[in-house]
Amino acid sequence: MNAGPPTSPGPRSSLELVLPSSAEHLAFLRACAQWFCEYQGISATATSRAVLGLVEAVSNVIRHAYGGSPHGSIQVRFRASDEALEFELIDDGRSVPPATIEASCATGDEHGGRGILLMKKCMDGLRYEQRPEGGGRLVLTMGRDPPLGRATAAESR
Amino acid sequence: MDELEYRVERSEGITRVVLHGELDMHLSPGLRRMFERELASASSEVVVDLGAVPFIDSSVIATLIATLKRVRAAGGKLRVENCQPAVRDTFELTRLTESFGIR
Repeated sequence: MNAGPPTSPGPRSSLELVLPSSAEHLAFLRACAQWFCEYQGISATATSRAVLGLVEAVSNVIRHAYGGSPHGSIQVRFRASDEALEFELIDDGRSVPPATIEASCATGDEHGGRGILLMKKCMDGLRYEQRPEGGGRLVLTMGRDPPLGRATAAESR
Repeated sequence: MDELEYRVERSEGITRVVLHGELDMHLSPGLRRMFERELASASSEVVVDLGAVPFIDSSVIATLIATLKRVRAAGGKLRVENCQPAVRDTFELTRLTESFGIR
């Protein structure tokens, strides 16, 4: 992906990946997320945080929803609007009550446990739900600062 | 990258582990085994050089903490050097810059 630095944010579009639940695909996921954020004109700092938050989320799905099995499937949808970037993860593995993730205050130790902490620190919003058909849906949101369109409106006054 | 890339430099009582490439859950088990192997008879001072590492995640942080604890239990010290901005940010978000001597 050699689009080069964008001169303006890309279209308010979406991108969907379907990844096997194996950590060997995390590098590819990072490259896609990096490109998507840069294409949307997100700052370098925000991009690296978005990529980290997304990697932590997918790693958690691999580890907990699929118990480390590489035979599961993870849908990752990237969406961009004027206000925010959104990453949606859908799995059909083992799900947990939303409070387990949304209310987690774990700070971790030498065995791990910092994944949710980093997701919450990197992203502006985190929402998890158990899907009626099984599995889970996690939505991570990062607001644009400022939202697109405001600068244009100010310039036109 | 499917294999951990690293080199170990030993001189004057300091063991410097220079890592290379993005590090995540895929590579952290190998990273942990490498630290256990290379630091089995560690010097009193261990430096983990992350100058060529553009990304780490929480699994790598956990491995570094386990290694830090083991080195300290053996009477040694461990610090992390040359963090790139994104990696330094990850240590700051997890409030571990002081624990790893990151300036």
